[in-house]
Amino acid sequence: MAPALILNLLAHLLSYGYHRPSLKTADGIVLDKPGKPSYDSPSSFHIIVLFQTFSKILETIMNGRHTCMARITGLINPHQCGSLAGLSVADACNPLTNAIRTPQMDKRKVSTLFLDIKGELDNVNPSSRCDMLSVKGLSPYLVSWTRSFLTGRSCHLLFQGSPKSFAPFSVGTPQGSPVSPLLFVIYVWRLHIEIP
Amino acid sequence: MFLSLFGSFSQLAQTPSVVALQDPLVYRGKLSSFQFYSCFSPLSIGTKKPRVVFYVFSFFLSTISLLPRFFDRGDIIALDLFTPDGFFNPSMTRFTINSYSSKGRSNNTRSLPPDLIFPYLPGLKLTLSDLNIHHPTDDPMRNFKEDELATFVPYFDRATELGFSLLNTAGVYTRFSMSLVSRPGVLDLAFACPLVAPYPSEWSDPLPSTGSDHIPILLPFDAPLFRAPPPKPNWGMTDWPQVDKALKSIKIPPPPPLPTSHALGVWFDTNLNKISATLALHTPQVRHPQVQGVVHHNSLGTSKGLQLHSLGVQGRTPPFLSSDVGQSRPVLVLQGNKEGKKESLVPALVEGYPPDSLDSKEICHSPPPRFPELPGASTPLELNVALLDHNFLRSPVTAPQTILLPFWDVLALEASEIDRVLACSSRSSAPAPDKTPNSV
Repeated sequence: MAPALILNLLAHLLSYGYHRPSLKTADGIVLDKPGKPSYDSPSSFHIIVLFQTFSKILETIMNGRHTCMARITGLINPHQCGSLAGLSVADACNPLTNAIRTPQMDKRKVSTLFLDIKGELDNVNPSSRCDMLSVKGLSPYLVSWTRSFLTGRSCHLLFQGSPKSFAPFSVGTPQGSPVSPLLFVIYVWRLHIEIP
Repeated sequence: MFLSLFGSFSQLAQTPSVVALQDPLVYRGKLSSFQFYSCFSPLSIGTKKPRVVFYVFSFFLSTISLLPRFFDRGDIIALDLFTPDGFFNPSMTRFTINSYSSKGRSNNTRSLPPDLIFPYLPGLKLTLSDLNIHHPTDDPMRNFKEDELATFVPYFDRATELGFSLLNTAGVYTRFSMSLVSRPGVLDLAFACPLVAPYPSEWSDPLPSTGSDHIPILLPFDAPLFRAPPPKPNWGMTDWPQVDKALKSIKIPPPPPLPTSHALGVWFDTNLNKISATLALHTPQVRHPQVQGVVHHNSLGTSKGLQLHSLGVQGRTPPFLSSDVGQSRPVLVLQGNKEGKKESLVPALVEGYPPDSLDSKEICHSPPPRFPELPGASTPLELNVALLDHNFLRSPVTAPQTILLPFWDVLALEASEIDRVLACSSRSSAPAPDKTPNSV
């Protein structure tokens, strides 16, 4: 497809900091989690959300811009690994291993505390996140686009015999979106300060 | 043979929408899969073998809502079909198809009692069964033994009490015993409740033998339910030079000044649709061959088949090892390990098919997806709501008609950014509601 046309369409959305609702409709594929003793609970299934192709182009671009701005404004902690290009969990393991081995060599006991945030992407409050972006000085158009992107979403669940109707839903950050991991990282940046 | 059943559908004018199988083939703990059919099984394969399963044509699934009902046992399964347009008239939006496989017991009773098979429940009901009972109505030429007469009475009394009609054509046998000394019989019975009974156009057995001791039975319904599935764009055949030329002629006007969110959205959708329409115009549409047959032979909204097939697999010798078995072989073929299949299939099956036919792709190596069975969700809509509520917070649709003001600090979008994204996008990513793959 001609990039010039895409550019023309998306540039106007961006200039108004607006994400069109038709781009926020998604298909939710319902898959069973293997090995569950019973399948009579919704928790025995997980949903893979598929986004509009056109929307993913804009989301990927915005992911790059958010990353750049978040680094500048300090919304990404320098110790953050994962969900960022070039920094994976493996990069976090090396300093952790060193931090553990160093006191062990001095015959000291070491304890490591791991925290797991359950449903991290789903339980983010879009409003407070956008306020945080605004307070930290991100460009207003980025804040406006993020607010528009996170609200007014609808999903169409696909399972055998599903009613095939779109239902509005509210979700912290939509799983599967290119920009969601970064938005979550920004949301929890304070954890690095509160839990040094 | 068993696997030729689905292959023999090519002989029908229309593809059956629902296939009710009894004693389905289980290979290495997995049910067979058939292209374009979704399987619904009452039991988790691996623990116990189901005796009844449904296969539903995938394109039929796209036109209706469906909720299978399981009963923690392998010999009963029900399908609740829903359509807002109604099945036989606009008010009949729910249609239940039950399938039962009953075993005989020593005291002239059957494993499934009459009140289970014919419950007091309202609505449209079609009951497909192998109850292992004989009755003079469907088998008038049979000399009945006393115990046979005693066995069928409670079932037919119950069916009569609730107004069920027997759909079978009297005197047409549905089972031919493996033993030459045993009589053929009518074991596969189809009952319809009073609301459904007028609609099956005929009860017939037009399909060739599958190698089972039971014959396939076809129940076509005259109902304006079925829609031809929409054709899909064949992206591999897109005429890209023409698309390029057409796209270059598209001019995107600027959005209205100080637009509301709605106006900007309409502007965006209108122009995006221009691009999509251009792509569609130069991309041939493709229909599935089986559906193509349906469309060619029938106008939209005509009848479709609903098929009951009852068959035995393990340890039974096919009664009809005739040439029609071989003729139907290439249509559906077996997949996977030839040697393993030879070991697993009963000798009669292997003898029925030439060895080279075992190189095919039929035995399922991935189990069918489990269907959510949620307490309190008795319709697909309720199931949909339960899954959504569990995974997401529901929110009302809010579309404030605010006037949008342009941001003056926007970093201009550059073509290189789009090029970079397009270059990195995964070609194999599944398309979402817009159905446009990344490769396009």
